[in-house]
Amino acid sequence: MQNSMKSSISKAAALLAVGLCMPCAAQSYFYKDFDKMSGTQIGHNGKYAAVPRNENAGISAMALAKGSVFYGGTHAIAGRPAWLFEGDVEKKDVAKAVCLTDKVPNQSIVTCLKYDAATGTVYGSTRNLRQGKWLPEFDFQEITTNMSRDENKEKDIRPPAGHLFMFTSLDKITDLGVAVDSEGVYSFVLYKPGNAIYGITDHWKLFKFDLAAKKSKIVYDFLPVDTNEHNRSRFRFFGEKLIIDKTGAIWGTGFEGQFFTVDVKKDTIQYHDVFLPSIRGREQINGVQSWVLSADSIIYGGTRADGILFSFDPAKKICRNLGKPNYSVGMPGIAVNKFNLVYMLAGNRDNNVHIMAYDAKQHYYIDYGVPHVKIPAANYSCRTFQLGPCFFYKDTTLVIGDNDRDGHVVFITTGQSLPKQQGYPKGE
Amino acid sequence: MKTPFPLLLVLFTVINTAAQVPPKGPIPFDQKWVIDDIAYIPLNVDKAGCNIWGSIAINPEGLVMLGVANHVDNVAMYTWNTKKNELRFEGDLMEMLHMTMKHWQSKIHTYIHWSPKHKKFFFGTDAGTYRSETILEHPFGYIGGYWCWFDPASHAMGTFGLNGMHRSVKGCVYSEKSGLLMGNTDPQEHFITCDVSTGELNDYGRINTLHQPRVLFADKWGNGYTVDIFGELIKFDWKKKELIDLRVPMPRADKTEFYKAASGFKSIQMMPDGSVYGITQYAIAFHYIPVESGPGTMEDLGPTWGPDSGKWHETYSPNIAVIGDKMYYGMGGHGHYIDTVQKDVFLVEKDLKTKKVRVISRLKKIGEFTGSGIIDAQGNVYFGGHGQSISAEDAESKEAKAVKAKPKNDSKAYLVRFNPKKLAEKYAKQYEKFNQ
Repeated sequence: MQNSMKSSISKAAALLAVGLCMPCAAQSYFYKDFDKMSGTQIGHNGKYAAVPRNENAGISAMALAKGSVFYGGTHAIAGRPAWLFEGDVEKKDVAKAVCLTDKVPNQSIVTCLKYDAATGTVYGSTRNLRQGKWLPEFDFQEITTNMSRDENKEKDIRPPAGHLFMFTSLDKITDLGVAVDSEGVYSFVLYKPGNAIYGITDHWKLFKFDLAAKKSKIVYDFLPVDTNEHNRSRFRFFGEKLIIDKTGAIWGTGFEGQFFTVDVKKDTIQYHDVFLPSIRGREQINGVQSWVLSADSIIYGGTRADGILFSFDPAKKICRNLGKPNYSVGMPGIAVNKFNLVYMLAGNRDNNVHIMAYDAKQHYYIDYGVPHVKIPAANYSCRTFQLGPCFFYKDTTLVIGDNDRDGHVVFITTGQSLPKQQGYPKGE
Repeated sequence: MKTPFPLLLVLFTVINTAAQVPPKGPIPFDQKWVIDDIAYIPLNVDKAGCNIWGSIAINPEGLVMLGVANHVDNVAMYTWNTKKNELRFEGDLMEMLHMTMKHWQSKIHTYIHWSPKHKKFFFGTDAGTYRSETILEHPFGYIGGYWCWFDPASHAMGTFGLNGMHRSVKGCVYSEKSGLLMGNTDPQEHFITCDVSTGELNDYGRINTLHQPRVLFADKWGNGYTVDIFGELIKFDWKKKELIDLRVPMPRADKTEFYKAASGFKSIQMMPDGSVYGITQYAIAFHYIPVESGPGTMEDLGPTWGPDSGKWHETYSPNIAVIGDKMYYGMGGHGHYIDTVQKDVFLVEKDLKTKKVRVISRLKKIGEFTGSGIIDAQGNVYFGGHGQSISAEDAESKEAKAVKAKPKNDSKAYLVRFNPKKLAEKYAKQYEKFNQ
């Protein structure tokens, strides 16, 4: 007992020390404009978008494929079909859009896309929300799906289960079937040595999908039983993303933000003594919302409960709190280039998302604010408040998906260094 | 350093006594308010930038309701009884809705609509500041706009709930047929419907990220209409619960920038026959006849000022009153004035058949007119009027101080009443030089 207390005190002291080491992380610019920024509508075809207005398509997943070609998936309201689109970063346009409706039936959100360079195949996953009233003041998506697990089990009002799918071109989309019965897929990773997909469902199960046998298996359930009569467990959240590090280990975060690796031989998980940074008391709702592997094998990510930027060294098992860049919670997207510049989308769906950048060498933030994007092909400009996924193309072009309905793709040319920060002490 | 408590107390008392509290009871009409046959009924709010946007309406009983925004933390509500000729201060919106500063609202930007079935006025509230809406960086934050009702019989006000986190209600229209309040948000311009009998709120997605059209209209089948980012009409089919691209462009003068086209129309009057008259942001009058399915008919009535063809002059008219075959509107506001030195509002009459315009009056007390179709049984037209608008953010700027220093601009809001036929008969001749 005493020992554990001691260790937690020393842990707190270590965290405090890390915090004190980075006093500059809290400083940030307010609203800095990008010199080069432009955007396009999904499936832009002359003046009008190819995705019809009532599909209400925001971009929820993107992946860079061969060369400058990228693929994206949309997030429609419950009951409307999701769309897939193909674009080109060099041309700064999205040329083709395909509705999933008759290919992967009853799916309204594409949650994750992964490109397998060896076979030239893109893998994707979907999930759905419950149909009914959509209240804009709260995004009930997580809470309702978890509530349906507890209280509404008998009523069976769960949305259609999420699917996995694959394609080499948008003309040929193959449905791989349901990942886990009655559950949607938040995200997955491609585990090539085992020819399998490891993913997280929106009811917090870690599953393995064997790509050869096309069969799914639950590896670990993070929320096995609701023992509490008040069912408070439904307000718990875990990491919705997995990542593969340089050595090929699959990482995720589980209960109270604790890091785990997937034991692919025994098909179970192994917790490690390292936790996500969190505002005190919010550990239960914490988890990784987005993370990315940098060229020097450090993982940069953001937490869903507080929007804290962290770096994680999988070899040393050290997670560093790099500060909370924006006042709002969540970090729906993050990308890093070879110049050690971390670009993040800080904020959540119902708040506004700021594009922010972090210099991982000099340790300071730049706030680019809510971007005002020119759409040259359609001759208008717009503000994009809800930004979703993002990725880097050739370390100099940041591609961001606009997650608000009637979504746009935003292309930003970034430099090799960030603008100098005001008040930053010289020579450090 | 300690702040001396007595000093705080004194400051508090001074602030309280300095704040002008308008009388509650009915204030009878005063002949002093009339200048050149136009009545300027003063609304006693003396904070800078007191502003009536479209927040003015009339019901069939002849009761005019209006909200005066202070752009800081409150909206003063007034009613004017056109039969008794009496003004009444109904209260402050924040107090009437039992709101604290957590829920601050500083403007009603929507039109107000009367429901004969519910015997209530319906509207939505707004933050009314750039920092809270466009870049979402207000120092205190902004929770979002509310959908509200006001019952003039019981003088009570209530809400249907929040429009959405951090989003104002920028414009709305009410249709008795569908029972829906249909509006849009700022920022992001999502199309929202609010059912007044159940309070059900639905979001139909983003349609115009660039600008939030301030005015919407409804047809006799219960559908709502607004403008998308290309400056084209969008119809909300309430039975199918779908937005429909009508691909009907608003009439556009050449070289109208896209961002003005996207902002659509600034004033609209729904006629008993189901058609609508309106004026676009870039000052072109139009007549639109909706049909149950299909695009309907859009008629270009020509610019609000200047010759019918050739040079087009940009003016600003967030107001309209159509009586018979004449359309009346005030020109001026938001930096667009014909007389760039005096910056006066001109009252103009447009003949809907010949499309010709003539000035019938030049306003003495105000810098902008708002409101559409507020006409009483006697043929009087009512508009909300205010001085040059100063928002709370730049109230301390040099420009704002210069505006306030003008003797003509008393920074007050007025309910403006006139009889356009009388004005045209009496005063049109002396403004003939402007008509060329």
